[in-house]
Amino acid sequence: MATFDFQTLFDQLKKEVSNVAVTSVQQFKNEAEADALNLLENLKENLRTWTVQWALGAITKEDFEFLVMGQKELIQMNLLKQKGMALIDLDKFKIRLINQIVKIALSVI
Amino acid sequence: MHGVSTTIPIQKDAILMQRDAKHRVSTKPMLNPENHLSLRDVHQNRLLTNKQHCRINGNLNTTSMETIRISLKLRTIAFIVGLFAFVACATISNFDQQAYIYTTSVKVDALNVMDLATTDYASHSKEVKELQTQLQKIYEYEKNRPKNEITLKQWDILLDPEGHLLGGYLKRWETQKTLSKTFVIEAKKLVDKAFDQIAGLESKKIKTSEL
Repeated sequence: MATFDFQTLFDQLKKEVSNVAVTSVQQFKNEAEADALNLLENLKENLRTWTVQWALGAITKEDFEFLVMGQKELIQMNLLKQKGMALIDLDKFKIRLINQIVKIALSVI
Repeated sequence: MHGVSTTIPIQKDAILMQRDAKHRVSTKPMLNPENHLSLRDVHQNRLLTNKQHCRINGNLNTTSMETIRISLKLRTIAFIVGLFAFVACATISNFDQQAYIYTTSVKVDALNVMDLATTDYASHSKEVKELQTQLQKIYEYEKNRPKNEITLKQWDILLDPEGHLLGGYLKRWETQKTLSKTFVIEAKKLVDKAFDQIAGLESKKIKTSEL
């Protein structure tokens, strides 16, 4: 009968989990940061444009308010997207983890 | 008087001595040969039992090693099964090609209808109704997808008539009859990006091939 060392399995798994977690979190952090910064830059540009348009009479005060509120809702949608992407990354992390576990478990048993 | 008083204690002493002797005899160990034999038997039996016990322990050690090995294997299997269950329990819906196509397709239609807002709403109410029907169908589709709450919340924000994206835009157009060209262009940019948030999230979801 093949010998089985449960401790070795756990030690290897611990190392792998740590590696997978660090990579996943870093990847998510970079993507989320880039997305949020892009939206913020877009907000700054839009506010500048709308203020000028309002001042020139191209849009009314109500139009301006509507657009600013629309921008706020767009940010809310982006936050939801970030939340969803975090969950997707969690699921991807779980898949990578289970693949590693099966691989290690099969090598140890 | 004096003679009587001296004889009584002597008699008492004699009685007490007899009692002590009886007591001493009764407390001595019983040296009955029958009893002695039975003790030896017991001793032999005890030795025999110890030997048997050792043999049983030997067997027990082998058996317990087997049990431990089996138990470890079972623990491993339970651990792996548990992990599979943990993984199987996804936190968000998987990628849906149909939902992605619906979203990107309706985005084009929505932006085209928004362009019409520089002219009277009444003359385009049919196009607006068609768009709204299409949006309702997509919403229903998204609503019935499991673990799709986040996407549904995005749709809620986009379509809310009291909001300031597509739903609010269509309501404002209906109320004001026409909207200014500049406002239409700027509002379209926001709605365009809002659709991208939904499509962008959908495209990032896990594909079946990745499972």
